[in-house]
Amino acid sequence: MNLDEIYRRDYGKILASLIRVVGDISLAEDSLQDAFAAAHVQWAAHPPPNPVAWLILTARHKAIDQLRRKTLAENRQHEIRMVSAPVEEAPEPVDTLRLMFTCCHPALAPEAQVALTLRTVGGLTTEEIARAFLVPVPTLAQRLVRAKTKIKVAGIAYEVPADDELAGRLEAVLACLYLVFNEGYSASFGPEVVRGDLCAQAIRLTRQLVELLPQEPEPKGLLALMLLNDARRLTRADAQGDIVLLEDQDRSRWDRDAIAEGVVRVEEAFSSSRPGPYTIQAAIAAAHAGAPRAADTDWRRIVLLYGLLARLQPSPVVELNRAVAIAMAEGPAVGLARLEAIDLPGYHLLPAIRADLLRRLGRFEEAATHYRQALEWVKNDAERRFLTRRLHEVTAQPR
Amino acid sequence: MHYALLIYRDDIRWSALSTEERDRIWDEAQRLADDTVKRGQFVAGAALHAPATATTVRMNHQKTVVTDGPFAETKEVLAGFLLIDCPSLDDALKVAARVPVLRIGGSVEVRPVGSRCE
Repeated sequence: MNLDEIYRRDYGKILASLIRVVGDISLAEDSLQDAFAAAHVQWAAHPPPNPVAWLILTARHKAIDQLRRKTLAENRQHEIRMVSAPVEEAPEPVDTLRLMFTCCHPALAPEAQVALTLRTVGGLTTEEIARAFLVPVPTLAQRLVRAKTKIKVAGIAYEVPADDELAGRLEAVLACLYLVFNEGYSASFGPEVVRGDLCAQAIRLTRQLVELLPQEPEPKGLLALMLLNDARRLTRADAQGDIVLLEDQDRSRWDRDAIAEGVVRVEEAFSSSRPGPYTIQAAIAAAHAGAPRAADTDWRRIVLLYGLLARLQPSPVVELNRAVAIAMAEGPAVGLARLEAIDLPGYHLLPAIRADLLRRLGRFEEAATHYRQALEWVKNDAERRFLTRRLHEVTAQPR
Repeated sequence: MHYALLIYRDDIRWSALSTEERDRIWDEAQRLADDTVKRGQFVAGAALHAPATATTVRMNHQKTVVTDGPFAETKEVLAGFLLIDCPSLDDALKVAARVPVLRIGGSVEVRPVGSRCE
């Protein structure tokens, strides 16, 4: 196996193990970089029998060298602790979990959590992350430095939270991974292919989390949700970058393997005693993915699932989605009545959906009014083009 | 009577100082604290890390919410505090006047401390 492959596969795992022994993220990162650089030179002649163990040990020595250059007494203690740490043949999986919980600590800002998780667990470079999130490299570098300083100075522990705290802290980890996924997913309209990689990264990291916490249902639910959405990512836009609605998407181009895995995962997660919000959303995505044609969609099941979700996570956005499902199951007039109770100031999808239901009821003039409102609030270009097209359609209708 | 001396420092000017200048100010602050110990005024005191290392706890719908920050873009940051025991405000103000960051544009807020403050 060559060094690049090892870097991609094991960087985060090795780093996670080093941080536990070295006790400092920056020092561990620098040492691991040095170890990879050394490997680059030395392996050409003599590749070691266990490359990962070699990297762990070499990085530890590099860290000790760095500490020796300073002479503080506390560093001597530190050094002794590191020298006496048992040799590791392979990184301990639980270290990856520690690193994830540290990077996603709620005391760090969400954008810092995302950057740090991708940099450390994901092994992405600062430049790659900056490009994916459309921020200047120095800004992102600064964000990483600040997050690492905070972890060190504020004393955020390198630990998997205790059982009574696990649920809350796991929520933060899942939210962070979902943020990474959505950043990539929402960018599928447009030329920024590189951002689509974020979906693959998020799936990879969530898959790791599922393996590390096999007894927890929500990581499985989130993995399923990501897989099922990602399976149709490329059919959501046409060649011009225009929106293709779910009902019009070419289902033969959906990724069948991803859907199959997603469905298995969502069933595992759903069989737990209390399905969480990600699991329920995944079940909704599975209901869509499982319909051979749009007309076969089981909207009644989807309405029930949105009901569950609304009880768990009451929010106007969930209510909006539920109203759409109700409109599909029971007709646009029923859905329209449900919208009356929803208040979402400035959110373009509320008038857009109201307009669509009115359009389907043949009330074109009212529909036009609400399309105009939606156009005032919409931010994304692809959605703007879609709404403009719809507005033209309804205003061209005979009165 | 207990007084809290809340010590604010101008972080822009602080970070512009040389290591030697900063060391001088630290030493001076330490001497001031030692002096209050000698006079029997000292109750407690500490230096604080930068606001960027802070974490804020709030309550939202009966749920504890932990967030990073605050990140209010203020140049004056709470750098530390001294809790002293003095007979009167004037005595506390005398101690406050000797806080070294005053020389580099800092300020010291003096507040009486009570067990229940209304």
